[in-house]
Amino acid sequence: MTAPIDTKELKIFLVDDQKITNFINKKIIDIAGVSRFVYDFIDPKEALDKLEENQPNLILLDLNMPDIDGWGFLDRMEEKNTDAKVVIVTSSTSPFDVEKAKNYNRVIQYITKPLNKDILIGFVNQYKKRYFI
Amino acid sequence: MDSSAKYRITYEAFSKFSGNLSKAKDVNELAAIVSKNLKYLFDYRLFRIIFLTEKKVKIFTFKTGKFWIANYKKDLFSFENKLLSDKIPFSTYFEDCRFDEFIDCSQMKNPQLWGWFYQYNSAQVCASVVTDEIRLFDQSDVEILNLLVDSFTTKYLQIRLQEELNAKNKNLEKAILIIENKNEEIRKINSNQKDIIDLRTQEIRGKNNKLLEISRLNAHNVREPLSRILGLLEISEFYSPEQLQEEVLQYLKESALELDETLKSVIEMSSGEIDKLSVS
Repeated sequence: MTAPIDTKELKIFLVDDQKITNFINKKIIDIAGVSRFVYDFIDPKEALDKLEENQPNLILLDLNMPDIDGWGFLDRMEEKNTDAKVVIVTSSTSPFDVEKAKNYNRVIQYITKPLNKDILIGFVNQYKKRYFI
Repeated sequence: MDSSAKYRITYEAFSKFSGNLSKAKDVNELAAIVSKNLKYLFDYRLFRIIFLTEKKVKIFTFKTGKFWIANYKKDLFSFENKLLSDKIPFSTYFEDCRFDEFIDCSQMKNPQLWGWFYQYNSAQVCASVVTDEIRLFDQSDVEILNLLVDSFTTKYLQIRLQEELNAKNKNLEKAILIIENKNEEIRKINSNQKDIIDLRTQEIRGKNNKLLEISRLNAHNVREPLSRILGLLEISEFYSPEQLQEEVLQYLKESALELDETLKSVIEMSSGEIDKLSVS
């Protein structure tokens, strides 16, 4: 068993139009004991509206969504007052998408679905090391 | 005039004639030069020279100030045919005039006919002179006549050779032109071929890219529900049997159905789009 990580006040947004994906990722975060403050959205617009109010530390963002896709979401984040970092969690294996993600400073990792506990703990630790001194 | 003076004047005339002869470019020019110079070499009423080569007969007839050129064996006189066959030179007086078409025999006094045969490498040559007491040709003139025939023949054969070469050159030029045209045709065919290949390659490349796009899209669409199934399996061990029954199993079923739908549409697309895009 992995020892639970001290989460302090780590807040996480899950943005994926698939309800089941959010359900899975929420459970994985729960199992890993990474955060007790997880907010899931199937509508990206709603997530954008809640950004400034909730000030999440991390956003797990899907790319392939109707209306506002992951790239549109990242672009609109620039207009918000937020320091949130983004981990792209997508089923796209396209090298084109991987390259494009590098253009966003906010994106700290690009993950191909499915997410699992070890990967989650990996990038959470990396995030904490860099921003939670 | 004594004979030495006559020789001197004649040879001077002959050397002038030779110089002019070398300038002749065709048979007509040759005949014109001979016609102009002949009277300075010896006296005559009519001078005829016949060249018989493998392919051609050429008959030159000269009287003072005028000449004729004929090309057929039928234009030969009977004494000339005899000369060509027996090759024996002769000189004879005659009563009945056979040269009406060239000269007026009634003006001649005591007409005489001379004839000679010469064998060259590529030609048989026959020369004849019609003369009379007014325009007297005698034995002393034979030497200069031989010289004349020799120069005439040499120049005539040279012109003939030149003409044959020119004709051959013309044929060669024609052949070269034909070859060049054919080459141009071949070049056009080749370049046409290249254009077709380029077009076809471009077409295939375009189709290839579309196929690649389809396969990428398919992979993405299939991975979406599949990744959910894998995620659900990942978390399932942390649920009680009741919770599994209630939540996870339902989601698994949903995702599995979606995967099935996606695969069906992928297969449909494969038989439709891919068939349409495949290279025929």
